[in-house]
Amino acid sequence: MDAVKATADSNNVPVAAGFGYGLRTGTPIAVGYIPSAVACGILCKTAGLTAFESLFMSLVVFAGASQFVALNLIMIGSSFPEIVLATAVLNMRHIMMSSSLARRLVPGIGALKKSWICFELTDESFSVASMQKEPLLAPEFMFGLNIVGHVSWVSGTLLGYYGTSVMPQNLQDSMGIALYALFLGLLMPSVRKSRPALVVAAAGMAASALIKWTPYFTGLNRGIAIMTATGIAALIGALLFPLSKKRSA
Amino acid sequence: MTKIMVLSLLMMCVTAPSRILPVFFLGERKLPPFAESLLHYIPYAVLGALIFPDVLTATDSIYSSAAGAIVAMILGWSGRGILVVLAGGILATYITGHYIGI
Repeated sequence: MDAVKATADSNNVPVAAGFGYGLRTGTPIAVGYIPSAVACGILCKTAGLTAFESLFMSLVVFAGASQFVALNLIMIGSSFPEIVLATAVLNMRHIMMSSSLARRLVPGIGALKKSWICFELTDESFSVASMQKEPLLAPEFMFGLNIVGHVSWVSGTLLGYYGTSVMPQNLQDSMGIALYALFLGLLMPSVRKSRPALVVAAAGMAASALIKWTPYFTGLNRGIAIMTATGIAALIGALLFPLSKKRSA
Repeated sequence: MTKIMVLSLLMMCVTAPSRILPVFFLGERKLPPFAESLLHYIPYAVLGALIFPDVLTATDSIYSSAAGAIVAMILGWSGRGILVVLAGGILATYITGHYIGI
């Protein structure tokens, strides 16, 4: 296939590069994280964690949904294996994101760098990175993009834990919309430009809603639900709009 | 090392592989065109699946959540920067939720 070869040995494919550019690109993620991170910190305190444990968890796990579920399970007294299993299942959706990201990273990145880039992979960093207009992403760019989010997540957790949030309560409530506004801000420009993207995103929404609202699936882990909806929508896209040999993203 | 720290490390051990391993399997090898297409559409599929319907329960009120989402959609569609979309969405949710009271 021409496309793969072209990306592998051509110098005129635009590459998103530079740590500083990554930092700037990641700023919206940092802003979007604050409300959830603060909520996470509050929940940590409620669940009886120490400040250091809360910081540690946000640092090494760095997965919003998984931490919320884990903290809830801690509070109701679940066993560790149960909690770990729930976390594992919830985060399996990252398999698809990591696979997709694999095609966007510049070829020839060392194993350690690659692992570090993906260790910090989240729904948000993946979304921002893959909506980047440059077809290829350099490691330094990814480091910058990831680190702002990670730092914001950890510091937001502490902020929530110590209850020193400067925001008034009613503004804090409204901030629940932040991550979704971030996702919409990323998605809309792409679906405006590309009909296949529009159809795939709409299919993702429909599938996700269908799973959520079908009574039979009520108890289904949300991570699995999102993964299934993603798979269905991407499949629809690949069937209806197969990429031509000359790939134009 | 407290119990919670051990738990956190265990959680890391099960979440990191799903983040890290695929990038090695699919790194720079050639894939059949169908798989290539599938991977190409995943970002849009993920965003769609993450946004809806969960956006409706983002705040306590479905109406103020919807208002925030609609404003974010309009701002995003008209090509505003992410931070503008973010601020607009939050503001719309705040205003509808706490001044208009829906």
